[in-house]
Amino acid sequence: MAEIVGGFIVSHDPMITGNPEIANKKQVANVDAAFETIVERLKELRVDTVIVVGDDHYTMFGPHCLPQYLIGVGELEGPEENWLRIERYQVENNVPLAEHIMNYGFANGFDWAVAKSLLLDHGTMIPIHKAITPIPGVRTIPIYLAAAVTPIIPMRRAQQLGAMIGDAVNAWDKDERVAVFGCGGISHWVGTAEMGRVNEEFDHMILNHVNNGDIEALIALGDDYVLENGGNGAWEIRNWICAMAAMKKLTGETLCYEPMPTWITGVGFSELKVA
Amino acid sequence: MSMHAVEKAFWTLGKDPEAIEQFKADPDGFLRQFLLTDSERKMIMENDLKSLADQGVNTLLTLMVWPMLNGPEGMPFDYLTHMNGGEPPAMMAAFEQPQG
Repeated sequence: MAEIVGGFIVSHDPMITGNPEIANKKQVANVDAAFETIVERLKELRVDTVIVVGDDHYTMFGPHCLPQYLIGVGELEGPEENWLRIERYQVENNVPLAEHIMNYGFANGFDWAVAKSLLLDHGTMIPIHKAITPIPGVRTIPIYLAAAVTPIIPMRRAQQLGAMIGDAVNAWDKDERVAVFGCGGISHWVGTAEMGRVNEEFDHMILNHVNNGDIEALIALGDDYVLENGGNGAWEIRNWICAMAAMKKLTGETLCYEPMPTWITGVGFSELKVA
Repeated sequence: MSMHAVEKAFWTLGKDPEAIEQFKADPDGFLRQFLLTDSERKMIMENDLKSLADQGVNTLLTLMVWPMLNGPEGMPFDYLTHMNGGEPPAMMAAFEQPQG
């Protein structure tokens, strides 16, 4: 019987590997320590597979095809971007479980876009590289939500998708210990005039909702409020909502929060614990 | 509304290194591959990415193509100065502080 044994909110700021030198060294050390904590917790939880929920940045997908939600069921490699200072490599998928989640979705009203091979961008690859790759044998199932390129997936639909993913894992009859990552956030304005602004008050409010396991409070914020107070980059909290919803009942604990204007982001990490 | 075509043009510039050379050699000819309005084509050729962003073009793309059209030197400050209507961006202050 498969089960979700834990989860994490994970920043995927590309500067984490792409340009750490421009940030405050103590903050960079705290971010690295958060990744190390996640690695240790995944080991303690004896996780076999991580479902990584991230989003594309007009890197993998183009104007010709913009999936609302996509699951990678086959070959994986990354990163797409050559400036992340990560040499591209193969990432091991859990194909049987990925196909099961895909089919469970089809049978329950979720018409996935499906990738039989996928070149991952930083939206999932930073968390994979820093927190999963260091643990040999742990496999990855990537899920991409439309969060940075409009039309973005409604937050309610992200929650419904996450709940279905949790149901699908619970319905898998093989022994499997699964964790979920919700990637991205928190406040950041990408490419807009405000780029570099970090709204600490907004970020702490978001993390408080996460730590309370309060998905409804996050959804109730609405996209206009999130855009105004957290920037276009904060729309990525729908990735977090999806991961949280997969866990059903949870409590969270902030592992690290750093406001990092040179990395143009409020960088946050939380552990999601099954309640 | 053809801002979708602007996004297609910018995405093509970002994905195809040869496209940048084609654009630089013959901007108007390159842009006529796409279903752009005269106004949109003019904004691109005049490097007015701020106006395009104001009209809905995704800023991931404006951020991506600026250094391709203007050179990577001065990023991100030149881009952000443009996006702020000529005013230096507030984020410059963060870079002026010691990062030790």
